[in-house]
Amino acid sequence: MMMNAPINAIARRATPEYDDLSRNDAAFLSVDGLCKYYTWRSFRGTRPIKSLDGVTLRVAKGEILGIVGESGCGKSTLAKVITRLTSATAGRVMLDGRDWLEPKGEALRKRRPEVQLVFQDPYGALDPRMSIGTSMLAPLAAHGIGAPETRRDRVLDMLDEVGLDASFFDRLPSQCSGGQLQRVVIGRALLLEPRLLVCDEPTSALDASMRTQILNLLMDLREKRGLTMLMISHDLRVVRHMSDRIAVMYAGKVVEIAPRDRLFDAPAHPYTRALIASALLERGGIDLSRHLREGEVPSPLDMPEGCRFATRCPHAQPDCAQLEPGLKQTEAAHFVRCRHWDSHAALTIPPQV
Amino acid sequence: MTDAMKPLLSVEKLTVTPAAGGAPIIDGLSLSVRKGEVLALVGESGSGKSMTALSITRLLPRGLRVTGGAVRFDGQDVLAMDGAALNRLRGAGIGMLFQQPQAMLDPTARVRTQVAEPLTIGRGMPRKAAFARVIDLMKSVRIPAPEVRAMAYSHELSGGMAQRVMMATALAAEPQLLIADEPTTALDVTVQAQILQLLKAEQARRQFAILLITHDLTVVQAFADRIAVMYAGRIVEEGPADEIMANPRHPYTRALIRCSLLEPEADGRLLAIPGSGARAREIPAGCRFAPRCAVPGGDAALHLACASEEPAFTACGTDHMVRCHACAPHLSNAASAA
Repeated sequence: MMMNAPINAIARRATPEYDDLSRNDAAFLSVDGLCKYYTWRSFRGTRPIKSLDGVTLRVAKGEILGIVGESGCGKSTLAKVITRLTSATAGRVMLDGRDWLEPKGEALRKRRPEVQLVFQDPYGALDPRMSIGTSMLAPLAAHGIGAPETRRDRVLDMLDEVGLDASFFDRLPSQCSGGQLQRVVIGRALLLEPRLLVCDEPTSALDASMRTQILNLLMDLREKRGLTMLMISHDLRVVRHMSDRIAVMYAGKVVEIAPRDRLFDAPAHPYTRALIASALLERGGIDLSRHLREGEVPSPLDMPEGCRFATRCPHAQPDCAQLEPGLKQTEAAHFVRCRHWDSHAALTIPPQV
Repeated sequence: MTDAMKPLLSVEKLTVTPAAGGAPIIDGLSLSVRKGEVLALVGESGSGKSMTALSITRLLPRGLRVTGGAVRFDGQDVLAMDGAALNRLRGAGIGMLFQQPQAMLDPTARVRTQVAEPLTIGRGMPRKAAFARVIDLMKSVRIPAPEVRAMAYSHELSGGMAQRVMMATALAAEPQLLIADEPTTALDVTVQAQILQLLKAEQARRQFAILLITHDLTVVQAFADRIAVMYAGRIVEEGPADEIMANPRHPYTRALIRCSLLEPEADGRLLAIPGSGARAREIPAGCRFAPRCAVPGGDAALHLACASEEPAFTACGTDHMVRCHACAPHLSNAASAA
């Protein structure tokens, strides 16, 4: 489909329909109909790459919302838009009642400490030629936090808080393990006392034994500081451990959102069930055919008209390919984007967790 | 000894040392893979598991040398092979799958040319016949529309498809052993499960053996017949997969299983192994895991043994071996209590 209309106009039309979610305006972070379309150019014209296509979320103060999905589902784009590392094509993000997408330039720079990001790859997030201490001092200096002579003490306190001793101040990243560097990255983000911490795959680059150390640290910090967090991961086990509520993303959309236990006890979307079955291989042996058909994830350049999961869904009906399903409420805080969720939810017993 | 029990691959006391000198990164490692069996070699980064795989096929990077031990495949001495014998070994004897399928494919060649290589170059099959066989192979690894994908280049494939193409290439040569080094780590979880399912089905059908190298214990239980756990260049525990997962004896194996499951302990926290993985240059004198091990607790005799003397690899059950002082009968039962 060739598009002549400006991309923003298309995005605006994709604004979502689910009222039940949007009604809760007391939320600390509220994301409404957020779209990020990148532009694909060729000699035949331009087409939108719909990386994020109408995402609506609410996060309460002190809550951890897990966002789970596979590569290309838009979860990292969501992190980039919410941390203002890239612009949104359409939609609205409110942080504690204030428009978070509106500030530009110096106004944005001043507000940047409010939302901080913990990156996936701690080796890439730190300058290899800068000592740990210098790396951690830099954001304090940039935002003029504290008197210059007290900043070193702040950094040392923070190192202690993330479980590293003072000797790390003068070390280079090459002298630390991946787990230690991820502690540094978390500490550097927290030095700015963010109101929202976005963690994008914080443990994916780490070994199993390091991963649990970092997850424990994040939980401790959450308790101590009452952090509000977005926990983005492809690993359902990580998200399950960390989150109060979980949103499952597929091909640029939220397909299911529910409180943590509810999502695992009664997953309503076929994709959620496939994810749970895949993540918990050790329990059920390797038989996925019940949950997943052999098929490919749709290309963001060429999204199908109907349900985006229909190409891989074992329960797909003819009408699934026709019309995009809306987000339906199955229970108080449980929403699912599937037209037939009530007919197949009973058919497939969720894997025992 | 029955034919099925005979080792297809046996590695004995393999030692790999940096050419520049220094401590060995693989230190007296022994393992064997029987015909038609799936052995999982599990360990964290830096434990030496990938280098073990590369030594078996003589593909070690420059700067690392095998300085001791033996590798025997199907009765032949791999370490003594010349170039021509190695070419026959790689492909027809031992096939390999790697973590980054996209990086392993030639970006300038069509899929069918690459899948056909073991047939055209390895066996001198005419190109036309080989291409026909390629379509069959691609069907067997369930690549949709194989005729179309056969003409594609690697950048046109998704990660899952590229790994299927690699699998078709490896299977083309009909290897007796497939070494799969983290074959699904770079893939999405749902695709990962599909690839493992496919690999297991092909293995059952064609009866080749698999040496699966992975850091992820959750994938191995449903997949492997036996598990060998590696820590700091040594195997610390080895046994049947069900036995290891249900009754792990080494404190490291036990902790690793808990860490991989990410299930909270009684206090709501996750079990964490303190410290970082041991690197070759900082190997302690006694047990290599001792600095991170919680087992000895207040037991002074055990503490002394763990700190001073490396435990031997001893049997602790049927076909179950472990390298731990606490599991040895003459010392305390701290391991089973912990």
